[in-house]
Amino acid sequence: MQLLVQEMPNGITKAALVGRMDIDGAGAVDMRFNVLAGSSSKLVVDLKEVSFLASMGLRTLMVCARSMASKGRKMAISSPQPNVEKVLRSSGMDEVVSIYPTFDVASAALSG
Amino acid sequence: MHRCPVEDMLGDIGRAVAWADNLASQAAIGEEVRFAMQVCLEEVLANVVLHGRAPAGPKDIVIEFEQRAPGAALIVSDNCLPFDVTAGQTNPQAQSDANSGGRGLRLLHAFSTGLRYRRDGERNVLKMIFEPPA
Repeated sequence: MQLLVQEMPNGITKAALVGRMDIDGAGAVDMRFNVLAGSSSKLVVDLKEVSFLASMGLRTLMVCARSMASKGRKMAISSPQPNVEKVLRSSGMDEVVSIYPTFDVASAALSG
Repeated sequence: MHRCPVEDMLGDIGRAVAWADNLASQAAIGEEVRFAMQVCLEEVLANVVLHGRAPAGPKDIVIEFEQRAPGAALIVSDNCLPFDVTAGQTNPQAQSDANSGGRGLRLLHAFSTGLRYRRDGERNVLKMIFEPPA
């Protein structure tokens, strides 16, 4: 699991995940998400290159989202593949974090 | 029927999920069903490892793979205190967990075709059935 972080000109932090966000993948990026939750004011987690997401990956994203929300910061998820989007929506993650079809749409939503 | 013991540690769950997926692949089960099996198996095993409590001694966790063409069933059993995930309970030990609030159960219902829980002696036995969409 790779996590590629990029600061965009509009103040958005893009965190692009690549690989399987399974129990091992989540463990590999969990600490970095804790850091992002504390350092980013507007975070878009891009899942375009994530082929799998399950329990512990959801937990990593949920903890980050709740931490940011508690500080008045914003987080969104973009570009999930269909099966990954089904995991996000059926678990209720979309009740906590908005999910957008592309990074650009998510970025615009957080900038507005 | 294939059987695989699972260590009481998060680090062993990936191996167990890969074991089940390998059997599913050998049984020519489709990608969508295999994805669903992996999601549900990781959810259930993580719950047992993180929140299950064995009343005496170490936890004993076992998964079984049963081919049911055109799909399969996964059976997870453990010697922890009774806990029926299909009853919509939130594990008391998981109240503060980020995945609490029934999110795990919602995942299991969304990705499995059927869930059956029974108590067998001192063991929880959860059978998850997976079939391809009609």
